[in-house]
Amino acid sequence: MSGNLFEIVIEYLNTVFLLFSVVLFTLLSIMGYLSTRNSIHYRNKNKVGDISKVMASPLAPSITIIAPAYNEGLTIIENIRSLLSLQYVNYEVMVINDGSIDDTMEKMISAYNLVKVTQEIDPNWKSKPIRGVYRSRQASFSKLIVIDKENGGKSDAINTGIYLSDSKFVGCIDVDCLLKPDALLHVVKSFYQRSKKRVIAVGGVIRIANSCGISGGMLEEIRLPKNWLAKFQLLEYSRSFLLGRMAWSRLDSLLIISGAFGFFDREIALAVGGYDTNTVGEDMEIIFRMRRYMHELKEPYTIEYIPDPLCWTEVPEDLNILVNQRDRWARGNLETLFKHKDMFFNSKFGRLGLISYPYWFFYEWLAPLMEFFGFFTIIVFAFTGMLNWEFFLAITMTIYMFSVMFSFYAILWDVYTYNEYKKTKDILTLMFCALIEPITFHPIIVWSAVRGNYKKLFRVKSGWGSQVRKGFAKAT
Amino acid sequence: MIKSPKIHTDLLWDLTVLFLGLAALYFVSIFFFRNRASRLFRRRGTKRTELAPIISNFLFHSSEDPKEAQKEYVELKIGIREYLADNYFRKILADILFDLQRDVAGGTRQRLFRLFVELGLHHDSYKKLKSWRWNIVAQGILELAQMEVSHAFQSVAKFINDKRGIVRKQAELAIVHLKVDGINYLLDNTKYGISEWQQLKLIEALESITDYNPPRFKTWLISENKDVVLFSLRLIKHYNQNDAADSIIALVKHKDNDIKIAAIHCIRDFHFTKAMDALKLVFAQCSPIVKASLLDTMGEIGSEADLEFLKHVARTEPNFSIANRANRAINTIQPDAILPTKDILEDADFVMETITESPAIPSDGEGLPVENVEVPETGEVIPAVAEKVETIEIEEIQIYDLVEVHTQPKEPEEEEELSPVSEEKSHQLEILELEADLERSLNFSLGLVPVDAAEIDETPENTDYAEMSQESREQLLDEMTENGGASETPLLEFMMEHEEDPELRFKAFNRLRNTAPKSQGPEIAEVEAVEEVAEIALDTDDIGTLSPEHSVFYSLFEHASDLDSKKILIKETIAIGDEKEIAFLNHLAQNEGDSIKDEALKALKAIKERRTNDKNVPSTITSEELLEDVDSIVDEILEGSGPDRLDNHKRDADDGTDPTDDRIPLELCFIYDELGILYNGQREKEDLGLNFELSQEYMYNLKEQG
Repeated sequence: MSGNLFEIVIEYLNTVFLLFSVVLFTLLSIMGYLSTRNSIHYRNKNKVGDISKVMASPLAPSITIIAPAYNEGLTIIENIRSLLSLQYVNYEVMVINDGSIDDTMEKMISAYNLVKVTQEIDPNWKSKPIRGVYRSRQASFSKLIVIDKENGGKSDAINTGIYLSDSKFVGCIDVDCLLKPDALLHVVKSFYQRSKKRVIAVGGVIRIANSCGISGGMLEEIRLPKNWLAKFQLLEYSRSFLLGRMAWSRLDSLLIISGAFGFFDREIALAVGGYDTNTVGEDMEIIFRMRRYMHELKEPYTIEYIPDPLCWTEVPEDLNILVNQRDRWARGNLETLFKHKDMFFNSKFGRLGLISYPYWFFYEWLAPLMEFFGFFTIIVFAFTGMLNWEFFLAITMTIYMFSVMFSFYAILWDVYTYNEYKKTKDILTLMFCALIEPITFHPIIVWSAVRGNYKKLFRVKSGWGSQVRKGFAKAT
Repeated sequence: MIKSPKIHTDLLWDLTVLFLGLAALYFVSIFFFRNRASRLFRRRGTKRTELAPIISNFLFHSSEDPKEAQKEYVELKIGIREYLADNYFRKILADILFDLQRDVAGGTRQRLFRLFVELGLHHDSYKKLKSWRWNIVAQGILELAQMEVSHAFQSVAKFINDKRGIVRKQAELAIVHLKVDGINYLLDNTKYGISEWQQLKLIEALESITDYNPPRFKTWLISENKDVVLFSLRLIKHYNQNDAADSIIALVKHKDNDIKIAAIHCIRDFHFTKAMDALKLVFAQCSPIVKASLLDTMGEIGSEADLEFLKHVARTEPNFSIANRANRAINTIQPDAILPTKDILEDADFVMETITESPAIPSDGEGLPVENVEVPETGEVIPAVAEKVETIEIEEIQIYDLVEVHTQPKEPEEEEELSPVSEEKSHQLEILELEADLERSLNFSLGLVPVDAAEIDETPENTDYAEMSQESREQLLDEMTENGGASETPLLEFMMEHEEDPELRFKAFNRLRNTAPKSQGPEIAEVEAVEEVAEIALDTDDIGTLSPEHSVFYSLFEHASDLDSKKILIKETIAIGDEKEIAFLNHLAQNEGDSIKDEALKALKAIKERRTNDKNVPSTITSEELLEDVDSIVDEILEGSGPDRLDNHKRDADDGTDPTDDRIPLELCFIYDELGILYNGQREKEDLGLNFELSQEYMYNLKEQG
C-alpha cells in the first residue's frame, strides 16, 4: 500500500515538474518571439527623426534626477559631474545624502561650492528628518541640489526627493550609474510619445560598466568585464533586459523597473505614496502600486521600456556581495508578491492579474525553489535506485541545450541591435559563458534565491547588504 | 488519477538536437550579421568617397565656370545617368544627399534639393509611399520632407489620418516642412491625437521655417480635437498671440488638466487679470498640480482684492505644498504680508543684553561719542521685543544721527518734514531707514566715518596745514606715512582736496587709500588690507607676515571642484606666482593630502628658487635701456636675425639653464605686446604654440615712426 502511495506521489510530482518545464519552455519561446518583434518595431520607429533637436524645446518637460547616496565619498564627485553633463535643458540633479557616515557630504560641499538654502517642508511628510537643502553658489552647478537627511534607506531617500522636486517627471537612479548624454531625451520621448495613454513610468536597460573606460564621468570605451562573475552577469542581464523585459513591454505587462534607472510621472508617484520603505524590493513594489492605482482610476495608462543602452553600472565582482544582492532580490520579490496577492489570477487587473503576476509567482519566485528541491529529489532517486539514468541524461541535455540556445539568441540580438562588443574575442567569451553558465553561475543564483526565501519565510533579520564600489577604470 | 505522460527518451534527444541546431544557427548568424554590417559599412564608405567629388562638382557648378570645367560637368551628368540605372548606386547617392543636407545651408542647400529632383531620386521616395510596410512609407515621407520636394505635399497630406501611428506622425511633420501653411492644414484636418512629443517636433519644424508668419492660432481653440486645442494654446503662448483672452479664460474650465494648465500659463504670461474670477471658480475642483499653477498665476496677476481668497486657501487647504504656494502668492501680491512663524520664539523668551559700554567706540578714543544710550541695570529682564526695539532704536538713532550730521548736514526742509510726525512714527521711519542702512551705519560707527570737509576745516590741524610751507607739508606727509594711523584720515582727505602740489596730493591719496579700508565696508577693508600687508611684506621682504589668504590662488583653490583643478592651480603658481603664494603653498603642504602636498612643495621650491634669482637681476630698467632694447630687436628682425633671437629666448627658457633670462621688464612686455612679438617660451606654450614673425615692411614703418 505504502509503495503504491509513494508511486502515486511520484507520478504527481513528475506531472507537476513536467508541466512546469513545458510551460516554461513555451513561455520563454514566446518571449523570444515577442521581444524580437518589439525590438524590430522599436528600431524602425526610431530610425526616422533626430531627437537631439528637441532638447531645448520650450515644451520640454522638467525632470529631476534623484540619486540617493550613502557612503559614496569615493566616487560621488565624478558621478555627480557625469549626471550634470546630460544633453537636456530642463532638468536638475537632486543628490540625497542619506545620512552618510563618511565624507560624502563634505566632499560635495567643497567640490560644488554648496550653500544651505531655506526650503519649506511639510511637517507631516513621512520621511526621516531633512537636515538641510543645499545649492551651489556657482552658476555652472545651478542644476545641482543636495539634500542632507538622516539615514532612512534608499526608498526613504527617494521619497524625500520625489516630495521636494517640482518637476513633472522624476528619475530614480543609483548615484554610481553612468547615463549616456542623450538618456533624458529618450526618457522624455517615451513619456511624451503616446496620445491615448498616459505613460506613468519609463524604465530602461541596465548595461554593465565593469572594466569599461570612463573619463570625466563619461563612458569612453565599452569593454567586456575582466571578472568572470561580472561576465556571467552581463550575459544574464542581456537575456533579462533584451529578451525578458522587452517581451513584457510588448504585452504592456512590465512589472518591474530597475531601481538603477527608473523614471516616474511625479503626480502618480506621489499619489501612491512613493516607494514602500518596508520592503527591499521597492522598485518592483511601486510599479505594482502604480498599476493598481491606474486600474482603479480606470484611466488608460502604460509603462514604457527603452531598450537603448542608456544606463551603465557596476555589478558585484565579489561572490558574497553577489549572493547578498540576489538574496535581497528574492526577499523583495516575495514581499511584493505577498503584499499584492489579491492580483493572483484576478481578471479585474487584466493581463496584469492573469499573465504577469502568475508568471512572476511561478517562474521568478517558485522556479529557483523547485530547481533546488528537484536537485535533491534527483539525489534521493539516485540513491534509492529509482533514477532512470538514460532518461535523466536525455532531459538534462534537453534543458541544458535550451538554456544555451536561449543565451545564444540573446547574444545574437545584442549584436544585431546595438553591437556594443566589437571584438570577436568578446563575443566568443560570452558564448563560452553561455555554455558553462548552467553548471557554474546558475547554481549560485538558485542558492541565493533559496537563502533569501528562507530568511523571509523564517523571519531571519536581514537588510540590504553592502556593495563595495571600485570606481570606474579610466579610459585608455 | 493523473498520470504523467510517458516521454520517450528519443523525443528528448530529438529536442536536444533541435536546440543544438538552433544554437549553432544563432552562432553562425551572430558572425554573419557582424561581418555583413562591417562589409556594408566599408562598401558604403568606398562608394561615398567615390561619389563625393562628383556631387561636389554638381553642387558648386556654375555657368561661368571655365570651358574645361563645363565640359567635365556635362560628362559627369551623362555618366551619372548610366549609373542611376543601378538601384544600389541610387540608394547610396540618396543617402549621401540626405546626410549632406544636414550640413549645408543657403544656396547650396537649395541646389542640393534641386539635384535630388533632377537625378530623379524623389521617384524612389514616392515608390516607398506605396509600400505595405509602415516603416518604408514613413521613410519615404521623411525623405520627401527632408529634400523639400514641395509638390509631394498632396501625396503626403493624405497620410495625416493614417491609422499607422508612425506614418501619421511622419506625415504631420512633413506637411509642416513642405508648405508654410502646412500647420493650418494639419490643425484643420487631423482626427487623431497629437502626442506631446509630436507637438515638440512640430514646434521645432515651425521654428526651422525662415521668416515664418504664424497664423492666429485662436482659430483652433474651438476644435473638437482636444490635442489640437492643447497644441494651439501652446502655440499661442509660444508666438505671444494675446488676442484670445476670452477663449483662453473659458478653457480654464476644460475638464482636461493639460489644457487647463496650458490656459493658465497663457493667462499668466499675457497678464489677463480679468481671468481671476474664473481661476477662483475652478480652484476647488482642480488636481494639486493644476492648483499649484493656479496659485502661481494668481500671485503673478492678482491684486489686493484677491488676498482674501488666497488667505482662505492658505488656511483651509489640507495639502501643505498648495497651502504654501498660497502663502507665496500672498507675499508676491503684498510683500511680507506673511512672515515666518516656524521656529520663531515668543517675545517673552528674549532677554535684552545689558549694554555697559558702546562697542562702537574705537580704542584710540577718537571715535564717535555715543550719547543717550539707555543702559539698563545689570540683570534687568527686558520683557518684550517692543521694548527691546525701543532701546535699540535709540542707540541706532544715535549712530544714524551722527552719520547724518557728519556726512550730510541736515537740511531745514527735512526737519520741517519730520517735525509734524508724532514721535512714535518718527522713530518708525527712522528704523526703516536704519534697517536699510544698518550695516553701513555700523561700519561707520565701528570704523571711521568719512568726515565732512567743512568740519575738518574747523580743526586746528587743518587750519595749520593750510598755512604751512610746501617743505613742511612734505615733511608732515612723510611723518604720517611712517607713523600715522587711522586718525590721520581727515587730514589726508583735506590734503587730497586742497593740496595744490600734485605730487603731494598724490602721496596723500595713496596714503589715504591705504587707510581707507578701515572706514569702509568690511569686505573692501579686508581685501585692501590684505593687499596692503602683502605690499608691505614685499617691500620689507617679510613673508612671515603673509597669510595663505593673501594669495590670489587661495580663493580659487577653495572653490576648485576637484583634485585635478587644484593641481592645475598649484602648477599655475609656479608660472605666475610670487612671494604672496609662499604662505599659501606652505599652508597646503601642511594641511592637504599627499598629492596636493607634493605639488605644493614643488611649487614652493620653484618660487623660492626664482626669488633667489630675481634678487640678482636688476629690478628696474631705464627708459634709455628700454628704447635701446627695442631698437636692437627691430634691427635684428630687419636683418633677419629676429626670429633667432626670439628662438634663443625660447631655447633658454626650455633649457632651464637660466630661468631669469626670459624675464624682462614689464614696460618691455607692453612694447612687445604692442608690436605683437612673442618673446617668452613659457608664454608661447600657453598660447597653444602659435608662432609668427612680423613683416619687414611693418618694422620699417615702425622704425620710421620711432
